[in-house]
Amino acid sequence: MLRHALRCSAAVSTLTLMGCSSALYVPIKVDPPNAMVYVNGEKVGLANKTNLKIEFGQNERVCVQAIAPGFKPLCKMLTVEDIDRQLSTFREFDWHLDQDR
Amino acid sequence: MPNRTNRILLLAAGAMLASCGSVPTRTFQIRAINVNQEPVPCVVVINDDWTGAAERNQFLTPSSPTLKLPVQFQVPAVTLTAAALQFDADGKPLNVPSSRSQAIDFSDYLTEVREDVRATDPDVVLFVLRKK
Repeated sequence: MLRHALRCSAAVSTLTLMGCSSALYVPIKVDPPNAMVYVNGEKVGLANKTNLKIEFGQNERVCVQAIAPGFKPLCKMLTVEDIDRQLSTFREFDWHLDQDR
Repeated sequence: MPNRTNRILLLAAGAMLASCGSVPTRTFQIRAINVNQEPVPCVVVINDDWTGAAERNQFLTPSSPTLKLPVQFQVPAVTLTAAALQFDADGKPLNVPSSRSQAIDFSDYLTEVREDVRATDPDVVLFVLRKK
């Protein structure tokens, strides 16, 4: 029981720390691969990069956007929990942009 | 002396009440680009207040592609809308729309609506506008 409580509290502190200041390195794949990725409005590079650095700072969510000519732009607001859940299930984000007509 | 102390206490209580009752405000930096990553001049509207947006010059212009936009959070989330605009040679906007439907008629771009913008969201809000 005590061990379980300690484990839970460690998990919560890790999440809290991540939410406060730490950077996360998140694998994001986007189709088409020439899509440009923006995090919190700043260009961070092409979507074929292995891991994107995502910093929450004092914010509860980050905004991740993917843009490619001829495709509908994608915009996701993600919390630490969203990222954690996705990575624990699928190990990465895999997004497909829809063609714009 | 007690009179003065009372006054100070009253002032302090008033200040505390005012700070509790004040509406939280957050200033966002707004930018807008198209899918080719080129800046798009536009008007930025809070909660569908198109008239207020025009009155308060909530414009991203060709010479000033970033707008510092103070947003009051009377409720936990607001809706921000960006609608592309055309500007004349003097940098004045042409045909400022007074509604979302008018905004689509006046421009080659679709409007982008960002719902659920919260006070705790990142500073920069980047709109990506698509051609019609």
